[in-house]
Amino acid sequence: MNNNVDINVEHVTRVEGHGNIILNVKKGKIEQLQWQVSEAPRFFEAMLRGRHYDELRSITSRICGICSIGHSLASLKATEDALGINISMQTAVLRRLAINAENMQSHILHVGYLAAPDLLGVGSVFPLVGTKHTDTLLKIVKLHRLANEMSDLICGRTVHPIRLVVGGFSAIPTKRQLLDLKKKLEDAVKITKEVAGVVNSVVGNFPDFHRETEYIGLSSDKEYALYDGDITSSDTGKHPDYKDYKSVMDEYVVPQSTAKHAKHNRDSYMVGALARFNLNSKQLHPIAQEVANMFGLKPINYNPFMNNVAQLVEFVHNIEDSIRWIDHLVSSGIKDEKPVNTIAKAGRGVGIVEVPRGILVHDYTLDKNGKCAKANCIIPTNQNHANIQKDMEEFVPQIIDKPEKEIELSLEMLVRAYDPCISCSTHYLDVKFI
Amino acid sequence: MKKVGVIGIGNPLRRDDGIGIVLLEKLVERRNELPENVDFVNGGTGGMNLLHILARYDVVVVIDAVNFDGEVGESKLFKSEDVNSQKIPINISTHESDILKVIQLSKKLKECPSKLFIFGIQPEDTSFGQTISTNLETVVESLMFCLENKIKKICSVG
Repeated sequence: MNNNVDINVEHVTRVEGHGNIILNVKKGKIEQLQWQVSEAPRFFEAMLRGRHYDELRSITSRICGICSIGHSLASLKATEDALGINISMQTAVLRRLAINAENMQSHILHVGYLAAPDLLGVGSVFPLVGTKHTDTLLKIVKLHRLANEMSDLICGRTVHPIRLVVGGFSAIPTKRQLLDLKKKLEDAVKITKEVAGVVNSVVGNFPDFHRETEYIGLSSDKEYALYDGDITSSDTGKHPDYKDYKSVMDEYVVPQSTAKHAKHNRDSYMVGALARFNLNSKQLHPIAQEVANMFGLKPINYNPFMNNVAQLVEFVHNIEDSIRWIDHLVSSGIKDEKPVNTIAKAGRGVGIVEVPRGILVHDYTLDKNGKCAKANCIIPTNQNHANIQKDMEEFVPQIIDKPEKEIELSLEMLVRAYDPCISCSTHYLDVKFI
Repeated sequence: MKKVGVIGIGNPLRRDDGIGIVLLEKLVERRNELPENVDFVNGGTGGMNLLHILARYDVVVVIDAVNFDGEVGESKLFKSEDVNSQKIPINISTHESDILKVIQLSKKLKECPSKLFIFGIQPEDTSFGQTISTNLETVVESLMFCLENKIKKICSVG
């Protein structure tokens, strides 16, 4: 065993936001091991108070530049629940297309740009160009571009949608546009399978680490749940009373982190693609099942690194699912529907959806004028922090004899596997003329 | 007709880092002064999505805050191959990536515009804040006219 290890990764790269890993071993004894989140709180829930229900979606979209569609949908579901609005079948289908587009955008970005460099032994995606992996990278860029175009078509923008409004859509794609999209999605199936083949050839580079934990996500009898379903735990089953989500998602504060942690039946639980796969894999579409089989991914899989693979499997499912829903829209006739009329009233509404990183809750209380009196948002990444910490506590003793740099990389890869989305950052160039 | 994209880059919450967006918005107000084949794109904080934006155009002008140790508000029009990046990323993610690297990637993937210019403006203060620093604010108008003329010239050459 290593007598002394001193790892202080501040911040972990290739994740969205800022988190630190601290590992301190003295005379063979772990003295400190922490996954820390040190970001300032952003007070979105407070910002919503006093705002009219029409504004809540566009404000909460800004919580995240990756999951802006997911936040929009959770927000709309909560608002519509509070106002007692029922949406049309066409709106429900278009929202499923929107959630598929976002899942595709986020998953290919994470697997392709952020996690793949670990598997291929490079520091970032940029050095891959010009190597034997150029072709794979081109395919990843093509898939990411398609997912962006799909978000643009359905939601009116690549990020921060504008067509998603209370009661429906402010603009509807045409039949021609949907059929063009379908053609591109069909082409993408083959490309994705090829990318999956490359990932499968190096997937053995992920550590063979397993830790039993609880998985929480939505599930439904009708479909692989993303837009709608019941809160479900791999330990305790379904919890149909969605307004009582706090009995499942018990958030608490820890000294090492400005982000909240969460627990339910055990010390921690996991949300996200692997949680959904573990709960609902039987409902995946056939080609997604085929890709899961190629990786040998079966429920329940307790290896958090396989979240990357589950994301790729879901990507294929999202394509197949979107093709089916486009067929449904085209065969039933696309109607130029206006959003359902709304009338302000007092009430509480809860909206729950699955976003790329896991189950997301928005909970609003509106006053009689339709203004928000109280808001609560439960974000997937916060639900995963405790599970990351518990994984590290079990993983470190298994790898402690390895060189310090290798331990550091393994722990970074573990954090990246969860695809945490911690916040937003700045940008400017710094150059020297040559 | 060639497709020309003018892409403003920056974070308006980091003071002078947002100059690219400030100038873009000023140009949009004067879009009638510029040729019809010019698109104006708010590229935000760049990242990998810039790769997809670049692929749409034949000619691109990127407007961005650039630290080249010049006078505050000094501007330079240059090509990506004229400079070496000295940027040390704090946190490599899709939020923060060096746009020079994205341009390189775009070139290697053979989808970069045949002509790509960067209109770089020397910032003074890129700390948190929603206002441009006073020293930079005083030259915004002249920067806009300078940029407008350069875009017209680039468009006339084709």
